[in-house]
Order: sequence, then structure tokens, then C-alpha cells
Amino acid sequence: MKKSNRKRSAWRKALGAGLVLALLLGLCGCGAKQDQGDQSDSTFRIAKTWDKTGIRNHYHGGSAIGGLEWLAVEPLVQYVRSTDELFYLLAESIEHLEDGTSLIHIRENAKWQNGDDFLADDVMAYYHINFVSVTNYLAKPMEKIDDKTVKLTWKSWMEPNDNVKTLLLAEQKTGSVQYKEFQQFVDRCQEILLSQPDCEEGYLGSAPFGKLISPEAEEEFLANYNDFKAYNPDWFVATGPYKLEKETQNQMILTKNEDYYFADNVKFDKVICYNVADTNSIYNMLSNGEIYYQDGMAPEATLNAILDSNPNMAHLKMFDPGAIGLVFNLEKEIWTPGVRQAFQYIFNREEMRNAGNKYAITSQFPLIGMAPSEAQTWLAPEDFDGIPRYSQDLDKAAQLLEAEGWVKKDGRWTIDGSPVKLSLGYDGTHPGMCGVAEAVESAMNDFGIEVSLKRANDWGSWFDTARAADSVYDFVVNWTDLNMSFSYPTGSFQYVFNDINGPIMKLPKFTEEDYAAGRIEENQVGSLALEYQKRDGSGSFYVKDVLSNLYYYSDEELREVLADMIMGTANENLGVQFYQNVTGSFVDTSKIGGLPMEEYFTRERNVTYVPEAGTDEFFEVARTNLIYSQGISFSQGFYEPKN
Amino acid sequence: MIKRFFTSAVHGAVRKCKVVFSNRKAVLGGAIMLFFVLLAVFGPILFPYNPVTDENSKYLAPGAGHWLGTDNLGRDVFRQLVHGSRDVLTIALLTSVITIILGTVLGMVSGLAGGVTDRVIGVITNLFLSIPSFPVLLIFASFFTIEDPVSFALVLSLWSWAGLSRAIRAQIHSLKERDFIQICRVMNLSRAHIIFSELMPNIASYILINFIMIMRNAITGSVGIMMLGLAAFQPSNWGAMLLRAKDSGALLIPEASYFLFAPIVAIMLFQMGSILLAHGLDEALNPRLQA
Amino acid sequence: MRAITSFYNKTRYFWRRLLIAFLTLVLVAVFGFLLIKLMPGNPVDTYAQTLMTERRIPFEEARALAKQMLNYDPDEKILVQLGKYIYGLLHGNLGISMRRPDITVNRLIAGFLPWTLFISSVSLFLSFIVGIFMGSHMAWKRKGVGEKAALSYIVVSGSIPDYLWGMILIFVFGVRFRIFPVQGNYDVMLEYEGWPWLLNVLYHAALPVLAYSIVQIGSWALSMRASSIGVLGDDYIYAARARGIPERIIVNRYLRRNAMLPLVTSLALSFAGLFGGSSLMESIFNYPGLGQQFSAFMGARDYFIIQGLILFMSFMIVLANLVVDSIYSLIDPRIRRST
Repeated sequence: MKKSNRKRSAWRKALGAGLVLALLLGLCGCGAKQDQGDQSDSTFRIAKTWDKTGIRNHYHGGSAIGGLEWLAVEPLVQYVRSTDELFYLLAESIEHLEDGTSLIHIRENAKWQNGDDFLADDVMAYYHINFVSVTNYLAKPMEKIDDKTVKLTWKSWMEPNDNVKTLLLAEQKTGSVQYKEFQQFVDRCQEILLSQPDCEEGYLGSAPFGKLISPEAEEEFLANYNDFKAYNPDWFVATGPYKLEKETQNQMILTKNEDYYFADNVKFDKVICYNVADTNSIYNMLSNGEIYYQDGMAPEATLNAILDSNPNMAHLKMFDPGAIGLVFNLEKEIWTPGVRQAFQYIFNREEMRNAGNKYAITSQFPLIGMAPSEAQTWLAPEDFDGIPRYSQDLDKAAQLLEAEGWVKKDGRWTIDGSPVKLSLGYDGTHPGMCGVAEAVESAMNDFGIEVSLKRANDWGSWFDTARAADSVYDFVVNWTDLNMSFSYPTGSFQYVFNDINGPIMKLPKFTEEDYAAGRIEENQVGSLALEYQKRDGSGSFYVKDVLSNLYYYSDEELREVLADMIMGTANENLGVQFYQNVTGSFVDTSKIGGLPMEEYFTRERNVTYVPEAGTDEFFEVARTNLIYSQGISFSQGFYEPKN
Repeated sequence: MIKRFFTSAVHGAVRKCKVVFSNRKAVLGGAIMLFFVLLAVFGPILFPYNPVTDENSKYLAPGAGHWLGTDNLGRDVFRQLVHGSRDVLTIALLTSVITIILGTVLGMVSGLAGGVTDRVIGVITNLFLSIPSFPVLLIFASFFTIEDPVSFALVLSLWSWAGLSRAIRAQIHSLKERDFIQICRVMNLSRAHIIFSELMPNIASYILINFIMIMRNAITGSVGIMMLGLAAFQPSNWGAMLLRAKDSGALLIPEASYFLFAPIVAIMLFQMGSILLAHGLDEALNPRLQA
Repeated sequence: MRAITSFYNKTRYFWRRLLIAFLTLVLVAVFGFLLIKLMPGNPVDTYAQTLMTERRIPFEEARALAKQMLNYDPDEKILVQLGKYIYGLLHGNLGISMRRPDITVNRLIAGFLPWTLFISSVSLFLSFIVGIFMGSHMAWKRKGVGEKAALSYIVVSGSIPDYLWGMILIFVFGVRFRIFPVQGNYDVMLEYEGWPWLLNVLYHAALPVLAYSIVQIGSWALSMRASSIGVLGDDYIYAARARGIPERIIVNRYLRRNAMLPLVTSLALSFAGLFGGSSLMESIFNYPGLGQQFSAFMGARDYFIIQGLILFMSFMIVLANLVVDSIYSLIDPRIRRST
């Protein structure tokens, strides 16, 4: 009796403690929930990351800035990625004149968020301190015509076509450097710049604003830029539709900027950003409606599961101007031309696509320098049809490998008697690439080549490893071709040859010896040494020359040069394209009004139709994607609260 | 001398085995462990695994063809588990062996030798105990990618021997003061005799239990390393399976629950086996617990 | 003079421990430094590469600038570098981020340690208390139903790593039933309102704390059980039983109190181990702690920060050991003599 009593009392205690705990937590829960319910309906919620250590109060402070990037810092004119649709923001218009000059007309009522007018000085401050790529095409420093007009003079020997001129200016988040706030740094910069000699007519090297910058001056610029970067104003310097109200490690509140020149368009009063990087957390937040919008894809089953658990969520799809596949590290001896070609035949690309992104479009090309959709836009139809296409043919692959001295023993491929073992690096945070990597591994093991997967934990460490000399990666899963900027071939070629894939592939570079042998100029040491044959057999050309001239070609010349470039790249077999990617956006249809494709998502919330290039929907869907349109949906009023 | 050590050891072992076999926990735990060992040795032969992906058969429910259904790329989950068990167990076993050898040898040397040797080993042990293991593992991962079970085990044991070594040193210290060792000393028996016939039997059960617990920790550790992407990614490793399930959002997908829970249950079963066995052994062999 | 000698003799043990602790820290600093030195690719080259692409300048130039900006020269002799590093440490400078000079290890600790300590210490103490009760009960009522149930719980909970529990909890309570938030530390809208804010912080901490505790309870209960069984064999328990003292009092007053003592040591050491945070747990709950920051800076290869954080974590462990040892030596004079 006594015993059982005691036992019961112990259990009772435990039960009691548990109940108290549950009650307490439940109370917290209710309290918090109520508060969430009180918030007005015109609040928008997104996930976007920034430095948890705290942001610096301006765009150039070296910190990631979360939602401010889309909603506070603006360019003169905004282009929408992939469609190149233009929206004039801080500039009312940009006029390109016959005499090789351009006039930027600043919007009359454009203001900084601290109430100051946005002026010609501010535009000039931005370009003069940042030396962005467009400044290299200018013949002299920018001139102020009046408070709201800036004049640009292009180098006559490097004058891009009008389309490119606008797009080059559109790339830049000009509304980020207020002259008044950063005067000391801008003036210092100007002073150094003006002390430099002018370049000669026809000089093709780097000469921002037509000035030849000496190494000493370069160092002074950098020192000045570092001071500029480290400077922390007491307000976040921006002009856009939303102001920074508050920022913590995990959340950021942006409130509507009532002085904004398009204030009438801006329908949401507040935007709350969550600092979430983990994709799983984002899926969870979409499932329970904590965020209303997220760009990108999720694996098919996950996407459907999210839509199943949140009846208000819809997913719209659109072309991604990039292709995913394999990129070879040419530093490794194994990648002889024959082996590279053999690899085109090993894979069932349909299956690779399914493993990566079910909604994407299978590609049969090798790495060609741009996504298939862009190649189709830029090439003449007969040239596009001429790009080599590959499909799975294991016999052909075996034949090519044997020609390279590979021998298959006991179902395993060997070179000089030792089995081939390759390591495949990929960025573990990209769900599509993870799927592709695993599919590649299993396909190759099946074919008799052992592959060890090197899953990097984040993009940075993946890229650091991939570009390092003597990298452990023999090849990688990556964007074979990707255009991050406006839809001009330069964007894609930069990605492939210079910025990302170039260092990964370890493409050949010109050396001091080439200079000594008189093959190149001194300043070209270190530039790309890739040489292609022209299609008509009339000789060869260097890729670097094409890259530096792309902006100046007429339409006719451009088509011709691009065809040579793409065929040349395809023949090198630098990589294997598996699919042209399709991306999209999750949108909460109960919170966001004004969405396109309504007749589609009311029928089926997982909209599988991918709008064809050039259709209205093509433009409309791209605008709703915040990465592609950089917040245009807010400043133009495409997004509105739904009641 | 060695012969005597062995005969006495065998006698002791037989006696202890009887005690162990009468302990239900130990028997159950041992059976589970044995099952996993058999699975690792013969499983891959009985259930060959074909890693080729197939879109049409992804997330299949369990059935005759696929006992535990299929994963996000249409591959058999059960066979993956079986296939992965070999690596997982090898890593666990090797880690235990390396850790035990390092820990015991250093601990005994330190405890027996004393003086400068003791101090030096003490400082090194201290160093390893003071540096948190996880961040260092992260740094190591940038040096080299862990390729094979041996290097995996090395990395795991690098930071787990120190605690054991210290514990063994303490045990040796207290044993040294006990009467029977003192008597041996007085009797001028050789050092080897003291170590193998007197000390070893007294700490053997302690080491055995630690062996099992280290194996258990090694599994958790290797799963963690896999989940952080620090090792060459072997998609059928249980940790890798878990990571893949997590990354493809399997928690959200009802059809994917087998893919997600299969590795969890496998890890759980293995750990249960090891905990039960360790407990059982502890109860059976630790005289104080038999009261 | 004699007073000093006698003071020294009495506290000799403490001074020796202090010396050892200091030596260990120096070793940790050197070891950390060398580890970073041995890492493939040095910080300056990595940074120069970033500068080169950002500013479009030749590599050699970028490298010279990077050297200047990072206050670090890889061509310097290792000993000189080590000296500089130690000098910085002695001046309280644990390390500065390579990319953003306004971010220092000290600032990271100030900003993120409180959150790490909050969830991890709450769960540590919670699981310690529950574990103590569970363990002593198990020891007292051996071979009972309660022990079997508790043991099964321990086995099952202990066999799944805590971060997996985290994922499962998020799924069940965050996504399926939507009772608890799936990420974050509090809702920013409540920041100015005392009580609701505090409740909200607790509300957000509930799942991470639960995930930590589920696993930790088991190991505390096991240690407590072992310790209790030891105490149960002691004479005074027999004596108490013989005197007919009620069982409840024996358990509460004699057993639990005495068996707990050795565990308090491990509690202190575990507490010191919390200062590093848990990268996995904090990432899963997107909780702004030191562990999550550590992996973030690791990803950015910000070596100075990493070095500083490791040293800080080690410092806490060494300090805890020192404190525990010293207190022990005060309580138990035998220790002072033995080592």
C-alpha cells in the first residue's frame, strides 16, 4: 500500500511537472499567435538572408543586406532578367544622341529616403567611386548639365550599341551613393582620377573615364574605397519604395517610403524579411504560410507536398537562362579530347534531368557557352540546328574510350592497368545539382567508372575547392552555362570563360613565354589562350578577342561571331549539358493580388505550363519573380494585398 | 608466463561468459549487434544493390519488389541500407579499435610510468580534451576529404581517445595502490606480469564496455560528419541517406516517410543493441552492481 | 615571509593547476595557429582573388593590397607571425574578420553567445534535474516496471542524434500541427513589449530546448543511476534503512543528495562545453547562436575568426576544469596530496 502510494506520488509529480510545462508553453503559443493575428493584411513576408552580425548602412558596406537589396536600393532603370523588359525608376529617360553622348534625365520627384532630392551629383558619385564596367566605355568623366541631367561621353572606338548602353546603366544600383553623405570619399576619388593622364584614342585596355590609372593611383583608390566601405552612415542610404525600420539577427522590418515617387503604386505597408538560408526551413515556412513568396524550384514531390499542406500556395514556372550539367577540370590529365567526347555519350540525359529538375527541358548539347534558349534567340536557325547533339550510346562511348587507351576489365574501366576513379564535386545546397550528382554517380558506376561524390557544404567552399590549383574535383556538377545579367551573350560567356567555369575548367592562359615569343602583347599575359577555328575554314580566332569586342558588333556580325564561338566551344567538349533549367516562384494567392496566370493556378496550383519566350505571360511571370525583377512588382504595383 | 596469462584469461573469460549469458540485456543487445554484423558481411551478397536511378519508380510504397519502398531517385531503400551497413559498421569498428588502442596504451603508460612521461602525456591529453572536437573536424575537412573507412575512423578517433586515456590512467593509479599489486611489487614480479596478469583483467571489462560505447558514438559521429558533407559522399551510407532525405524535403512528403525513417530506425536499432549490450556487460561484469 | 610560504603551501595545488591551465591554453593557441597555417590555400591569396575579381586588378597587385589590408603577411617567418598573434591575444584581440574589419570575435561573442547559452543551458539544467530524478528512481526501484520504461526511453532517445530529434519535432509541431514556430528566436514585432516579448522568446526556444533535452535526459539519468547504485551500497543507507527511516526520506535526503555530488562536476564541465554552441542544431532551428556563426565563417573561410572562436571555446573548457578542480581540492584534501 505504502509502496504503491509512493510510486504514484512520483508519477504524479512527473505528470504535474509535464502539465505545468505544457501549460506554460501553450500560453506562450497563444500569446504569440494572437499578436500575429493582429497584424494588418498589408504586410508582405519573405525569406531573404543578410549578415547576422549586422548590416552596414549602405549598399557598398560589404555586407549582405537582405530585402533591402530588392526593395530599397534602386538603379536608374531596371531590367528584368531573362526578358530584358525595362522599367525606368530614378531616371525618367536615358537619351542616346548621335554624337556619341548620352543624357540621363533624372526623375523630377526622385528623393533619398532622408528627404533630400536625388541629383545629378549623386549619379556621378556612384559611378566615380565604383568604377563599374560601364565606366571603361566612357571617354571622360561624367558631366553635370543641371541638377537633374547628367551627360555621358562614350569612347568613339569602344561605343556599344544603344541597347547595350542602356542595359549597362541598368545593371547598376545607382541609388546607393548619396554625394552629400559620402562627399569626402567621392571628392578624394575625383581628385585622384583627375590627376591621371588621358589615354590615347583607340586604347583598348582598361581606362575608366578615359584615364590611364597608374598602379600607385590604383592603390590610393583602394585605400579610399576601403574607407568608403567602412563608413557607416546613421541611415540606410537608399531611394527605394521601402525603408529599413528595424533589423535583428533573424528578422528585418521594412516600411513603406511615403515620399517615394511611385508611392501610389506601393500597396503593401510593411515587408517582413526572415533571415533563413536553409532550404528545408523555407519549405516549412511555405507549408505553414509564414512567408508569402519564395523564388526558385523545389523537387517535384516536395513542391507538391508544400502545395498540399498550404491550400493558398501556387507555383508559377518560367525559363531560367542557364543549363545544368557537368564541367570538366582540364588540369587533370585524364580529360583528353576523346574522353571528353566519350562522356557526351554515357548519360541518359532524360534521366539526369528527372533527377535534377522534373520540370526542366532536356538538352542534348555539350557545353556551348549559353543556355539552349538563349542560343536559339541569338543564332540563325540553321546555325542553331548545326550544334552537335548527343544522346546515350554506350557502345560509342566505349569505342571512344578504347581509342584513348582505356581498357575495360571485369566491368571496370582502367588506364594502364589501374582502375579509373573520378571525384565529382558539387554544391550540396542546390537540390537539383544534388540529384544530378547522384544520378551521374550511379550512371557512371553502372558504366564501369567509379565516381566518388564530394558534396560541398556551401557554394563558397565548393567554388574555392573547384578553382584551386590541384583541385580534388576531377569534374563538377554546375551550371554549364548561365547568364546572371541581361540577356546579351556577354553575360553567359563571362560566366563560362572568365568568372566561374573558366577557373573551374582551368582553361589555358597566355604566359610570359607567349609574350617573349611575340605571340601577344605584354598586357595580355594571363588572358584566355583558347583558340577556335572559324566554321568556314578561313582561319582561327582567339576567344578573348571576341569577348572584348562583343558590344561593338552589328547585328549581322554578331550572329556570325556567335555561331563561330558556339560551334568552337561545342567542339571542345568542355562539359556536358543535361538540361535547360526551369525556375519559378511560390506565391500565396490568398495574400497577393494582381498575379498573372490566374486561369492556370485556379485550375491547378502547380502550374506546369512554362510560358514561351515572347508571350505576355513570359514577361508577366518574370516580373513577379523578385530575383529577376528586383522588386519591380512592388514599385510598379504589380503586387497588391488581397482582401 | 604468457601461457599462464592465457590460461587464466581463458578461465576467467569462460566464467564471465556464463555470467554474461545469464544477463538478458546483454543477450538481446548481443543478438542485435550480431544481426548487424551478419547483415554487413552477407547482406550485400544476398541483396545486391543497383544504384541506377529510375524516375518512374520513385517513392514507391513498400511491397514485394521493394521491401522498404524506394527513394527520391527510384532506388530500393532496403538494399541501400544493407549496402551501406558494411561501411557504417567498418567505420564504427575501426574507430573503436583505434580509440581503444590509443587510449589504453597512453593511459597505461602514463599511469604506470609516472614522472616526466606522465606529465607529457597528461599535457597532450589535456590539449585534446580542451579543444572542442566539432570545429576541428570542420577544419580537418578542408584539408582532405575523407575517402575510405580507415581515414574516417582515424578522424573520429583522433578526438575520442583522450577521455578514455585519462579514465584508464586514473584506474591504473588506484589499482597501483591496491594490495595485490603492492604484493607483486614486493615479490619482484616482472612488469609484464603485472600488466597482463594483474592489471589487464581488472580493467578488461571497463575497456570492453567502452569499446561498445565508442562504436555507438562513432555511428552518431559518422552520421554527423556525413550530414555536414565533410566526407566523400557515399549515397548509401546511413548518414548520407538521412541527409538526402532531409535535403529533398522528405519530412514534408508523406510518400517519402519510409525513405526517411528507414535509416533512422536502422541507426536506432544498432544503437539500442550497443547500449543494451554495454549495460548488460556492465551489470554482469561490474561486481559492485551485482549487489 | 612565513605567512606567504604557508599560504603558498596551502594553495600550492591551485597554483599548479593554474600553471597547467595556462600552459594548455598556450598550447591550444599555438595548435590552432598551426592548424590554420597548415590549411591549404592561405587567407591572403583567397582574399586577393576576391579583390582581383571585384576590382579587376592583376593578382600580384591585389595580393600586395590584401596583405596590407589584412595586416598579415604569409611570407613572414612563422615564428614572427606566431609572436604577433600571441601579442594580439594578450591585448584582448581574439581576431578580426578578414572581409569586414568591423566584425571581431569579441563582437560575435557578444551578439550570439547569449542566444546559444540561453537554449543550451536551459536544456542542460532541465535535463539535469529530470535526469537526477529519473536516475535515482531507477536505482532505488531496480527491476521494476518504472526502470524498464525509463531504460527503454533512454535507449530510444539516445539512439537518435539530437539534431534529428530537432527535425522531427519541427515537422510534427511546426509543420503538421503548427503549434510551434519552425525557426528563429523571437518575433521582431514584439521587441518593445516586455512580457509578450519574453513569452515569445520562450515560445521560440521550446522546440530547440526540447530537442536538446530529449537526448540529454537519458545520459544524466544513466550517470545518476550508476552513482546512486554506488551510494546504495554504502553503510549509511543500510543504517538508515535499519533505523526504519521512511523510504522517501532516504531517497530524498541521503541517496539523491549524495549521489548527485559527482554529477555536479560533469554538470560544470558540460556547461563549459556549451559555449561553442551546436552548428547543426542552430542551423536546423535557424537560431542565431555561435555554432551557426562558426559554420558560416568556416564557409567564408574567415580564418582569423575561426581561430579566435576555437580559442574562446577552449578557454571556457580549461577555465571550467580549473574551477572544478580547485573547488574539489578545497572540499577533498586528499586530492591536494595525490597529484
